Amino acid sequence: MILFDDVTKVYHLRNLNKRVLNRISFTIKRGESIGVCGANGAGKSTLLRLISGVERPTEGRIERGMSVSWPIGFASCFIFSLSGADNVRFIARIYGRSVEETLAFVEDYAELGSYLYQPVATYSAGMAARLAFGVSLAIDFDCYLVDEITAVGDERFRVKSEEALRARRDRGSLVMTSHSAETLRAYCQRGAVLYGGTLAFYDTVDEAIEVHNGLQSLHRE
Amino acid sequence: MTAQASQGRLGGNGMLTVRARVIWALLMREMQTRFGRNNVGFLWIVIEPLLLASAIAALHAGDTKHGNGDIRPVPFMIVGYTVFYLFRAIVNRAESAMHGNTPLLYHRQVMILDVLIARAIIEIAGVLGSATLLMSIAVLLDAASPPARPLFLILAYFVMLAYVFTLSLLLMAACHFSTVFAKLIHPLTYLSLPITGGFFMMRWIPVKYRDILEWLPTTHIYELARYGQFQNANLDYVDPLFILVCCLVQGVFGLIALDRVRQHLNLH
Repeated sequence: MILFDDVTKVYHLRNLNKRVLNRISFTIKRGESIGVCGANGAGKSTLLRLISGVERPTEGRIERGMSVSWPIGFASCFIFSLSGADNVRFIARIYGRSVEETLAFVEDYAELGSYLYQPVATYSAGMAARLAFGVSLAIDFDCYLVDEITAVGDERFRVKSEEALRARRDRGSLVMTSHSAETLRAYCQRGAVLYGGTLAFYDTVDEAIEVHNGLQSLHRE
Repeated sequence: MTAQASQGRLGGNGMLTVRARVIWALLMREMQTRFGRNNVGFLWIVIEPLLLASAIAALHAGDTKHGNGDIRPVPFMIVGYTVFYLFRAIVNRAESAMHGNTPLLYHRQVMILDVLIARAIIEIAGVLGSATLLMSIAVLLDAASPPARPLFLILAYFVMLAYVFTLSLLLMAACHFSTVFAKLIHPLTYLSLPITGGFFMMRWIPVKYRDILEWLPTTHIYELARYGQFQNANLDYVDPLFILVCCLVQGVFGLIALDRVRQHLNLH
């Protein structure tokens, strides 16, 4: 279970204090999969960073009762100057996993070929995402946080990652952000909309998407 | 499932195991970026002081009567420079500690403190290695005698480590919150070089200046190092309590500051 109790996140930028999340409370239970909709800059990535614990809330309390992945997305969890393999070794070590097994899994899963031994700086965005995805699957978390990256890779890779994520979702939890309605529908049962610093939950992804689209068209007028 | 149980499933049992695991992983990583894979960067740890010490040795070649017994210029420079090197390496890295490293913090269990500890371990190992090498060369060339009190000399390196490590916590936080300070830190390190005590003995300094210099903790540490190296050096200007209090105060405030930085850190 993941619990948010009255959580506020304020970013202190040069000349403004941006209140990204305003007093939100919710719980995510094991077995739940939630698709989060929200405009650019609404705070989707911030939400995932708080869930994962890599950033702390300004106010409020967050509890994690299961192992939670880092937000798997384009924002890099890798050191660019190191090779993909060295990054994998590092991550395996900090999570207390066998280095060889993790590396073998990633080698097989991410299909980077000899690029695995090149610096991550030389990777395309898609390759880095595949690597991030592969390592996180190898670590085997209870809860996966996926930030916009399911659209990477070719069709074959997409099918593969979809299968992998679905399998984990059935055992654990999944929180996903995406601008693509199909992606959210494909992976998630519940939906949520992040708007104006608050997070509203809906029973289905479709409901959430509808509300989100309504809010967006409101802005356009 | 409780948090403990899930951590257990992730192969650890408690805070210390996680810390040790993370620091070990960081050490390996730091070795790879610095030493590894087509990179001879680590050689500079030895070459840089080696060049300086050789230049000093050349300048003082034939300068036999220094009037200080076994206090000869080459070992004097080696001790001063390597202790200073430790100081400079850790202070200068305080500024850049977070730049290339934010991806590391993308993993919840990696703390800023872990990153700093791993670096400190590498620096002290590098400095002790190069100091040993330099001193051995100097002894073989008969430019120096072996350290008179080796344990005190080694102690001095570790005291410097404790001092500069706790200082670097504060500096890191200051650099994080002020870009101006971050720009000033390199020149300040070099400007402080003449007064921090690496290259003079306190007993050479007139009393009125010495009274002021005694308020710089580093002067005590360099004196301690020279006491370790030279038979003819003494502990007159070393106040262990003063150094201890400085380290403790810096450490406590440094940890508080570090927590503020982490709170504030934006991982975009």
